[in-house]
Amino acid sequence: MPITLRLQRAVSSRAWLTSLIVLPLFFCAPFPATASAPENAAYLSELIAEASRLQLAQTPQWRYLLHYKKSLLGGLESESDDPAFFTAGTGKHDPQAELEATLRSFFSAQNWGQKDEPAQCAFIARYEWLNAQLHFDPQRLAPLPCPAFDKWYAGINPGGLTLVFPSAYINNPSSMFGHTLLRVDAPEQNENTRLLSYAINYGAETGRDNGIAFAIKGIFGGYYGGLGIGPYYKKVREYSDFESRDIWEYQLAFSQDEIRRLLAHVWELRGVRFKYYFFDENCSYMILVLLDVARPDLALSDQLRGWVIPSDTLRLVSGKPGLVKEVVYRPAVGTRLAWLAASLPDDAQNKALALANGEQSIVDFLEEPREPQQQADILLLAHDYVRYEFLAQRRDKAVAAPLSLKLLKARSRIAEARPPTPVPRPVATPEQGHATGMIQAGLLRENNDDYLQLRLRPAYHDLLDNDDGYVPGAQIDFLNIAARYNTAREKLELDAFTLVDIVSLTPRSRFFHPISWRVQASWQRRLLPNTNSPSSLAFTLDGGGGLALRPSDNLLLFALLDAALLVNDSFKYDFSAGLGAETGLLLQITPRWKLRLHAQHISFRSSNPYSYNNFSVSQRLVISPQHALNLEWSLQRAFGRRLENWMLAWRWYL
Amino acid sequence: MKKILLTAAITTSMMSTAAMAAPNNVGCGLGSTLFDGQSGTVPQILAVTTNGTFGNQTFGITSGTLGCEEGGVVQASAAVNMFVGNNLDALSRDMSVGQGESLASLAQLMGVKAEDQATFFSTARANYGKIFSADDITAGKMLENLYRVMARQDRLAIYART
Repeated sequence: MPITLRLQRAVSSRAWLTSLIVLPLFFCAPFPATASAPENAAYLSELIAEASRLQLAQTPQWRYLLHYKKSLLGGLESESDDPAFFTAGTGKHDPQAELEATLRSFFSAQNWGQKDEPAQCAFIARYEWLNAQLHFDPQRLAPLPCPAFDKWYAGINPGGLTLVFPSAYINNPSSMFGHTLLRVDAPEQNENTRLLSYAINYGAETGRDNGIAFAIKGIFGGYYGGLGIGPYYKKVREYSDFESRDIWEYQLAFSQDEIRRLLAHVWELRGVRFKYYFFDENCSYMILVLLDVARPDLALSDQLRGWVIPSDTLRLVSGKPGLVKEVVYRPAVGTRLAWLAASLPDDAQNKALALANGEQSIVDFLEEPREPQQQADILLLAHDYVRYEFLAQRRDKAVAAPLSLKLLKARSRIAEARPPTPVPRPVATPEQGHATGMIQAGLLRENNDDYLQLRLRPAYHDLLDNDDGYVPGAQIDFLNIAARYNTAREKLELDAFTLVDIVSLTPRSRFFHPISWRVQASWQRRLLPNTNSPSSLAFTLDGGGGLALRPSDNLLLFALLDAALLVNDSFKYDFSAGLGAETGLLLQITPRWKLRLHAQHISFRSSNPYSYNNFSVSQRLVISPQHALNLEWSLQRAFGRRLENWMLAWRWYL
Repeated sequence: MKKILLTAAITTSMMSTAAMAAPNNVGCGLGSTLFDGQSGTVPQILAVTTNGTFGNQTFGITSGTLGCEEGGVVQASAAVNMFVGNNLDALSRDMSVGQGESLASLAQLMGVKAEDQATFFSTARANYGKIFSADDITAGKMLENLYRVMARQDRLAIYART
């Protein structure tokens, strides 16, 4: 009827020739699939009124779907930096306007903006949720088919959600922070077919940037982040093989509806740009937002501090009762290699090495009298070593591939051999480790002066901390600041400020030959040429490289060659540089009591040449998972003087 | 009429013979070889790990080389090929041992029923040399060999697709 009305008006007010032109144009114009404009407007008003009555724009679900967060100026602001994510011009700051504009957009059957489908499909999570709340009348707001989404969803075949945590690289303490991604499991899978799941990963598009540019852009939002989806086996190859990182899989309890809502939201985020911030809007943060979209009650993304460390998000998720169903351990190639080697006697390990290095031919090896099971294990170990060396870029494909094939072929012929035993799961899972922040308070005695000392550290883990859930021999110390108060002179001063102190003590063995190393930039109290006070703060930049050995499970020995640079105006030209060496050990005396012995000698050669020695004995006693007691003694010797420190302190992780 | 039917019959059988020839040897990862790719466990001092997206398959619904993937989801027709192409080394190890996650996943993709899986695993191991027949074997050739081996085994012949 409305069409006829328009036609009558056209004919009455214009010449019939004109209407002859207008009519066909009108008929050629695509008709909206839904009712015409006035009826749309009426129903839209009803829906908006109902939505306002239910206060939908203020609900947590709407807030999570649109990624609204409280902004610094009060009010809400969406974290999305992409205009295409919003249907309203003011959508980034106005949840109510965005909700109304979203409802309006559902009435259009045209492809929405630059997208290749109508708004009902492009914003399918919003559509399905609003429909569930407002019960759209299909006569007045026709539901449109979303074939692309349906096909994609069917291809994923979701049945369960798993939070995946690849942990540290070997010999790379920075990677201890880890990473998180989500995995969507299909109903008919079991632990043997998880490779066929789909992984949802949020990462920064960094191109080929490296070094300082990478760090600066990453910290200050110079990159855009995007969601990627793909078969889980690709991620396993990347993390477990190429990067040799152990993977922990936390199977989560979500209902089918919740999983659908999460995937519908992932679909909505196709091509949507978010600025990526390494510290707070990073991979792990986005995963938490997705989980909050699935179940707003969780409110995981609201419970974080200023920064988001992946292992902290594991703690958050594990802390929700009933959310984690099971934790599965997936060892990396390096871990599997170490386990397989350790399960064989020394002579068998040496045999495997000889085979892997081409020192003995497989034919000769097979002629030696040996139990078939051990033959098979040696061949497999040799193969695993060759592959590991290849992945670490220490062997060429041209040599490694043929040898690997020969070894596996020989092994395949030993029909009666059993497969190797699986790597046992470590007792402590990543979220059971100590918390990443630390406060320490205690008593300090430097030569004859007594102090109260307070120390703070936002992240992460040092050599003496309990290693449960962390990598033994690895340390990352960031922004560790200590202040001390002299009780006699009533003076408060800076004791030390560490920008970064990274240590990686990775033991060498028959199969692994890593170089242990450390790097440090800090202000520390040292013996200096001036004698105004026993110690003075000097900016220290030092590092070393060497080796570590693990002769038994609870003992780690290390020795490094060092280079050091000190900056202080008591030196000629304000600095002093030198070379030296250090050695020490870490001993786990009991599961709760760790001891560190350390000795260092540096020969400073520039400006005023002098010799510097440093000895320390440090102990930490674990009282509970988040509390420990420290007792430390250290002695510095230089310029014919001594600086002796005693410290007793209580450490609290939070 | 008869002539037309006969021509049609011959054409159809020829078409199906063509279909039984080697699978597409380059599409969807079938060109990969053993020990492909080089990325390392290289220590980096302050590097944050890449944690990158899935390369260029970030999301586009229309992306996907040769119809292998759409929006990141693997097309059913390409599932076996893509899996083999991406997991060739793991499959090589699993077949040598006669067991393993990659081999079990391949069995699932090929539709091997639970009661036939043990036969599938042991057949693969017993014929390792025939399946991985050369150092520089491609994933496509390996699959071809595997199907040939399966076709000769009573219980596995029905799974030996082409």
